[in-house]
Amino acid sequence: MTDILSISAVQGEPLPWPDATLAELVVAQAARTPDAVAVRQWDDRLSYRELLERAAGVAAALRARGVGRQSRVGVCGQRRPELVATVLGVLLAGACYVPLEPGGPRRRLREIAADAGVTVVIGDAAETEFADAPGIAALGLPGPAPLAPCPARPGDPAYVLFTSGSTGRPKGVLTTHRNVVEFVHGVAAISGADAGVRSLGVASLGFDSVTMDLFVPLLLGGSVQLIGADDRADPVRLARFIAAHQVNWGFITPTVLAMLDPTELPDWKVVFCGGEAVPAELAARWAPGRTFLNGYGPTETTVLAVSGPLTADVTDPVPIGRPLPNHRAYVVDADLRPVPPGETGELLIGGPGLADGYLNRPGLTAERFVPDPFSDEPGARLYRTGDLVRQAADGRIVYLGRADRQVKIRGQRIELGEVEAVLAELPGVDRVVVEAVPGPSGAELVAFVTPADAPDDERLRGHAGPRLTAAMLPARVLRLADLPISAISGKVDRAALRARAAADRADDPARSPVDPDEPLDAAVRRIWTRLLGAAPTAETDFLAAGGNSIAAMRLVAALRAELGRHVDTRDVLTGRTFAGLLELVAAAAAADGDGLTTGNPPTLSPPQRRLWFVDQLAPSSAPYNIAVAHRLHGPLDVTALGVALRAVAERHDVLRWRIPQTGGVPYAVREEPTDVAVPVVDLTGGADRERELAEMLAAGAGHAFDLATGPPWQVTVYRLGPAEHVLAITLHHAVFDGWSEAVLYDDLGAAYEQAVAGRTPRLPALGAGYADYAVWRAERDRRRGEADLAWWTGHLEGAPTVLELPRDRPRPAVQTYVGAEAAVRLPEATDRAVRTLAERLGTTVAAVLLAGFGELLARLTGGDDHVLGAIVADRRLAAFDDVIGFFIDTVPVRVRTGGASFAELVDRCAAELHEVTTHPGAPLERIVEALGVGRDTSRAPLVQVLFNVLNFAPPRLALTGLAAEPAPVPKPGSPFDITVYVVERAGRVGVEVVHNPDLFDGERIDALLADLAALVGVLAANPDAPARQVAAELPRPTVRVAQLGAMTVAAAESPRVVLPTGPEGLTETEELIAGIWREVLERDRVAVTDNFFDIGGHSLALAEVHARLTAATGRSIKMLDLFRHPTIRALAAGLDGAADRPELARAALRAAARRSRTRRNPPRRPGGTTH
Amino acid sequence: MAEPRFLVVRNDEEQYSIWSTDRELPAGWHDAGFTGSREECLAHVDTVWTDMRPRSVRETAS
Repeated sequence: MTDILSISAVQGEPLPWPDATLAELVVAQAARTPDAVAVRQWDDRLSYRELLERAAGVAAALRARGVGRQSRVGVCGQRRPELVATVLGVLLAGACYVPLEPGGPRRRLREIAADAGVTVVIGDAAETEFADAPGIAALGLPGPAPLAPCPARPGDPAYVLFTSGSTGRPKGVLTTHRNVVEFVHGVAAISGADAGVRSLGVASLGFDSVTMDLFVPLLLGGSVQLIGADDRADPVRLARFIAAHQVNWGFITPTVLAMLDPTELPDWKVVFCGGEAVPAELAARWAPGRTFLNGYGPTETTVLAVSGPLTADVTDPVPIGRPLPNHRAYVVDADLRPVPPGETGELLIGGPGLADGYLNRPGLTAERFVPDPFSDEPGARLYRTGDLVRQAADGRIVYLGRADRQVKIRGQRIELGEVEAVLAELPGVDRVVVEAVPGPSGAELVAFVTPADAPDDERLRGHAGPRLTAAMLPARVLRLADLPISAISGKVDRAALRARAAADRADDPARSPVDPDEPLDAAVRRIWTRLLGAAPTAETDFLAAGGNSIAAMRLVAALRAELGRHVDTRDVLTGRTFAGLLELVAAAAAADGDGLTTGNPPTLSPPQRRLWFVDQLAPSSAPYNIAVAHRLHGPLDVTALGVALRAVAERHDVLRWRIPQTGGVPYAVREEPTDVAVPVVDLTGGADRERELAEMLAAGAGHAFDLATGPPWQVTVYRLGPAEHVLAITLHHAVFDGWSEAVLYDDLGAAYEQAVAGRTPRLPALGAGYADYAVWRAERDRRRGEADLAWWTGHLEGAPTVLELPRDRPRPAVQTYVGAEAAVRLPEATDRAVRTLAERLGTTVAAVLLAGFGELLARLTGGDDHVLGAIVADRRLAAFDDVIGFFIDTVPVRVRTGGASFAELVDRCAAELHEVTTHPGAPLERIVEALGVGRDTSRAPLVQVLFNVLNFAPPRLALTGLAAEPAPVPKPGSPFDITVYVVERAGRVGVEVVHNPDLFDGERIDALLADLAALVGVLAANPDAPARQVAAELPRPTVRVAQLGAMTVAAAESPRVVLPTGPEGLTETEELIAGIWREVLERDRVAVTDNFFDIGGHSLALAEVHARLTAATGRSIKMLDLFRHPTIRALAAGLDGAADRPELARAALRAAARRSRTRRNPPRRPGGTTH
Repeated sequence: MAEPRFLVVRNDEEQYSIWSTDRELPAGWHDAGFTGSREECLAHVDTVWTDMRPRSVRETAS
C-alpha cells in the first residue's frame, strides 16, 4: 500500500452493515413497527403494514407475469404514496426496478425501457404511458396480497438509473441491494439519522438521491414525506409542505434550496445539499442552527461518496467533505498516479458503494471502473468520477470542475455530447456544438448550429422534445454560418462560442429596478425578461423561450414577491404564452392580494383545532352543533332535494371533511362527493304531530357527530302532510357558522331549482375553499401572531379570568354543556332610547347593550372589571364570502365600568368591540396560554359568558314551488355558562340567552333578562348621569342573591392514593407519565407536582399526551381525566385508582414503562468520519 | 511518441477493466490475454465480457 501521507488520499471510517436485501430489511422493520407511518402526503398515509400489504400485492401481480429474481421491471407512477409501495413491490418480487417517469420524453422513455429489457411496466400511470408500447405489458396497481419471501440476494441489482451518455445514448447504472443498504447505514451514521427521520421525499424516482428520500427512512423505521407533483413545482407550496410535514432530514439541490427560507423551516434539522456546487452564500444562510452537509456523489457510487458539514463561514469553492464510511477517495493525474495534497487531479472513489457497472455496456464499464492499486482488498475497483478536485490542508476535498464535457443543469447531470448527437440527427443541421453558459436561472444550455439557415426553433424543439429531458433541451439556439476554430488547437473554439452566447444575451432590457407605478403588463414583461433572458411578444411560449420547471418556480416567486400576485406554477406551464400569463396575473389580482393561495389540500384551521379539542373533551354532548329547520308548504321533491344537497357538498368540500387524529394530532381528510341521504320521517299518523316534531327536532339538533368518521352534518325531512314538510339540517360548528347559513340556503335553492327541472345541478366552482382559508390564516397568524399576542396580554393584564354570576346550584366539577333558552324583547320606548343613544354616539345598538350588560354585571358581582367573550367572523377576504365553513373566533372583551356615565361606558364598549376585531393573529387558545390561565374542568377558560353581537338578518331558504318559513329548533347545548345574543325581531331589539340549567334556574334567567331590559331602558334615557346611580334598585334581589351554598364547586371523587415505589420515589405510572410529558413538552425535567399548563402545556399538547398514554397503556383513558388531574401525581393516582383490576393494570404499566424507557435512549451519534 | 499500451485485466469476480502495461498489476487482478491501445482494449472487453453479473451473483442465480 502506498504511503498515504504524501498523496491525496482520504478514507472513511469502517462501519459494518447488514448483509440483507432492501426488501428483507423493510419487511423486518414493518414487523417491528407495523402501525408507524411509513409514507405520508398530507392526509394520505401508509403505515408500514399498509405499505407492505400493497407492495406484496404488486409483487404477487408481477410474479404472476413471470417476474422473478434479476428481472427488470419498469415503474411508472404519479408521486403518490402508492409509488413507494410499487417500488417496494418490485423489489419484493426479487426484481430490479427501472424508473420511467410519467410525462417524460416519450421516445426516450421507450428507448430506456427497450435498453433495459423491460417487458412489464407497473404503476398508476403505466397504462396511460405504455398501453400502446409494443412488447410491453402495462399493469395498474393491484390489490393487496399475502407477503411472500423476497428471492433476491444482497448482490442482485435493486434498480437501474439512466444518466446522460456522451454518445447520444443514455447509460444505465446498475445499483445493487448491497450498495444501497451499505449507503443507508453510512449516511445515517454521518447525519445521526434514526427512527425519528421524516425525510424530504422530493427527488424524482429517476434521480439517485431518491434513495435517500425513500430507503433511509424505511430502513430506520422513519417516514417518507412524499411531495406531490404540484407541491413540488411551487416554492411556496414546497415550503408549506416541508413545514406541515415537519420534515427534519433530507437532500436537496442548491438551486431549489435557494428558493426556500430557513426561518420558515425550523424542524428541518439535517439538510444535505448537493448535486451541483453549493455556494458559500447558501451555507451562510442555512447552516446556523442546523446540520448543513454538502453531499457529493455520482450515481456510479450509489448516492453520496463524499460529504461533510459546512459552517456559515465557509468560502467558495466550499469543500465537499470526506469519504463516507467504508469509502476511499484519491486524487490522481492522467495516468492514475496520486498527486500531492493541494494539487488538482481527478477524483477516484473506492468502496462498497461502487455500482456493478453500466447495463450492457462492458467497454464503458471497463473504462470507468478501474483496478485499485492502493487498496489492500484484492480485485478492488475504483470509479473514475471525471471530476477535478484537490485535497485541502485539513484533508477535505474541494470540487473544482469537470475533466470532460459533462455539465449539471438544475442538478441533472448532462453529457453535452448526447445533446449534440440528438440535434445533429435532424436533417438540415450540419454541425452542432452545445455549451453550458451562465444564465439568469443558473447554468443553461446554448446550442450553436450550422448552417445559418438551419431549422428554426420550432422544428428543433419538435425533434428534440421527445428525445431529451427538459433539462437537456437547449435554452437558446444560435445559427451560424461556421463554427469558430481555435488557431492554437485547430479545434472548435468553445471559449469564443461562450463569449458569443453572452453577447447574444447582452441586449437584455430587463435589469431595471422595480417601479411602483409600473403598469402590470410592463412589470410581468420585466420579470419574464429577467428570468428567461429575452423580452417576450404576446405569443412567446414559455417553454420555447427556454422556460422550465425551475424557471416557472422562480417566475411564480417573483410575481408574488414583486407584484403580490399569486399564480400557480402549473398554470404557467399549461398557459404557456406571455399573453396567457398576463391574463393569469390579472385574474389573480382580486383574490390574491393578501397572500391567498388556492387548491390547497384539506387543512385544519386553528379554530377548527380548538373545536376538535373541545369536542374530544365533551364527546357525549353536542354544544357545538348548529341546527336549522324550515317548514315547507307545497309539494316537496325529496329526490331533487338529495341531488341538490349533493351539489352543495360538491361545491363546499368542507362538508365532506372528517377529522381523525393520529398521536393526538387532528388532521383533515376529504371524502369524495356522494349522494346525500335524506331520510323522511313520516309524522302524518301521529296523535300530536307538533309535539313529536318538536321532540325530534330537539333530538336531531343534539346529534353527537363523530368528527373522525364524518360526515359532519345531517339532513332530515319530517312529513307532516302531503304538502307540508319540515326540512331540518344539523351541522357541526367545525364546518359551519352563522354566515354560512345564507350561503347554504342560496346554493341549496339554486341547486334545487335545477334539480326539479330535471337537470343535474351545477353550482359555480368556488375561487377559494375552506382549506385555502386555513392555509391563508396559518400564514397570517404566523406573521402577526407575536405582535397580536403581545397586544392581548397587555390589554388583558390584571383582568379577572373568572366571571361568577349569582346562581342556584354549585358548579359541577365537570362542565356539563347543557343548554336552556330564554328571551326578552325591549319595550318600544327602550328600543327607541337605545337606538337614539347609539345614533348620538355614532355606534351600534350592540355596543349600547354591551354597556348595559356590563353595568348589570358590575351590580351582580360587585366588581368593575369583567371579561366576556365576543364573536368575530374572520372573513376578511372577499374570496371567502361564498365559502361555507367555520370562520369564527371567540375573542375576550374587557368591559370596565365604574366612575362613568352610561354614554362613556357605551363609548368604551364601542371602542372595545372594534379593537378586539383588529388582532386576529392570536386565537383564544394562545391568549389563554399566554395569560397562564389555570385550566379547570368545571368551566371554559377565560371566557364563561359570551356576548354575541353578530347581527345577521336571519337568512331565509327559498325552494322552487314551495313556501318556506323558519321553524324554531332548540339550541342543542351551551358551550358557556351564559351566551347572550343581541337580536332584532320584527323591528324591535331583543336579547336571547342560552344558559346552563345546571347552574341557573330558568326563573332567575327570566328575571335577569327583565332587569337587563329595564336597566338598559333607564340608562339609555339618562346617558349622562353617573351610571351607577341610575336605577340603583336594579337588579332585584332574586337576580342578585345566589342560592345558599351555590357559589361553590361540587367536589369531584377523590382518587385513591398509591404510594411511590419507583427508584426515584415515583410510582411506575408516574414514571410513565413523566416520560411522555418530557417528550411532548420537550423538557429535560418535569416534577410530579408541576401543573401541565404551567410548564408549557396547552390543549393540543394534552391531546398528544392522551394519545401516547392510551397507546402505552392499552387502556381507554378519558381526555377529561388529563384535564381533571393536571399534575403527574394526580393523574397517576387517578389512573391507578380507576383501574378495575389494579394488579393487571400495573403489570401493563410496568411493561409500558419499560418500552417507554427503551424509546428514550439517546439517538446514535454521528460516526467519526466528519470530525 | 508511441501511443500508451494497455492490458485487458480481470478480477476474481470476472469483472473486466484495462491497465497500463507500464505499471504493476494491482493485487487480485489478472492479465486477460489482450494488449493494445486504449480503444482496442475497450472494444475487446465489449466482445468478451458477455455476462456482466459478478461471478458470485451469477453462481447463486439458477
